[in-house]
Amino acid sequence: MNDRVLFVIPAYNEEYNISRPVNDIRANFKDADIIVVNDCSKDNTLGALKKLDVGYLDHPVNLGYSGAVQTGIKYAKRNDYDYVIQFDGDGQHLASEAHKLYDMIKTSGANIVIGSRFLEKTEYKHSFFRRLGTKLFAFLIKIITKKKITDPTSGLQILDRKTIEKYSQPGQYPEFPDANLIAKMLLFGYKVEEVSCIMKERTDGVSMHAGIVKPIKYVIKNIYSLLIIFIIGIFVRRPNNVI
Amino acid sequence: MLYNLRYMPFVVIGVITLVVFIRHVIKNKFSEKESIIWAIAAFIMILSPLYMDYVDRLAHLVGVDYPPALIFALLFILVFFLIYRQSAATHKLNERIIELIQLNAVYEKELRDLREKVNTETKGKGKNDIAEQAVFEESIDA
Repeated sequence: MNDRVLFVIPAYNEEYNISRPVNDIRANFKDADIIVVNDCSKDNTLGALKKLDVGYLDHPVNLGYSGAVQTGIKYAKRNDYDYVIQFDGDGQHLASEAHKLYDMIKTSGANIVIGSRFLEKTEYKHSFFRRLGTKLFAFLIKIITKKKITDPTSGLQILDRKTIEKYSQPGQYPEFPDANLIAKMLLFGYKVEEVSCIMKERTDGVSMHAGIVKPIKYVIKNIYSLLIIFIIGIFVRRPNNVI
Repeated sequence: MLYNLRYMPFVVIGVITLVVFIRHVIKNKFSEKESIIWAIAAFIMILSPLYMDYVDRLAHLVGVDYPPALIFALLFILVFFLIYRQSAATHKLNERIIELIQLNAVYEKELRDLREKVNTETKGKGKNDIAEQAVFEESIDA
């Protein structure tokens, strides 16, 4: 592999989970570098990272999931990486599956490749409401962009240089970088593809969408973002339009 | 009487607003640029008796029975505008803070890597070399 690939792992209170993805990548994606972004965790995630002897970036205050991922993307841009693989710190993603993303981006010429849990039938169990939300977002993306994306909320993604450049700019990576971001990128001419991936269930720690209020807030914000992108799409949609 | 009593509350509020904001600008608690819009609002209130005839006419034209209520409505719109401006300014500041925090994290990693490299290189060197490295490290810190 001639390309420089960087795994970006956002971590918030992942003291007991973080060793799993790091060791998994070390064992199954040997040529890639790893950067873990500790988003001002309240537990001893930082200590766990030092013990693992893995590259890390440390936020002095909590910026949330998107802020942490964007920090990693900025690091990738600054260090001239060819590809960034977004990888969750809770052990849900598998490094062996990340190879599929890399192969896909190399062969398809896509700017973004998403690891999809729903492109083919896998053992991944999604709660009813989450599945409903995912289907709703997929439906809205289809209406806005005419492109079928089966898993727009998947955190497992590979980004090429052009996308790294774009996402690293201030204000270009939203608070909830899910369906809204995928729709926006598609509208502005970025090529987005999916590849079927196996993912695991979270075993320790708390999901960022845990509870009742957070998921509701998340769905409302995402639908609102999609509505804005829909309006943008009406006015600025042109074939191969890149901003 | 030039200053009709029914407009006196506006005049008093206007004068207080003006005095408070000028004091804050002098004490550097508030920016001169931001205070302009408040000063304009204060002057609108202070000078309200001078244009009350026009306010009366305008109030009747738009169907407001009590003319001072029209001034309140206009000030309400102004306050909305100010809140919008504040929200926009907060968003801009937020973006800048995020950028600073992210760059700080990246630079902190670079500094850590550099320190590690320096420490590795100093191992097994003579006293003079170590002193040179210490000066180099100090220059990095500075």
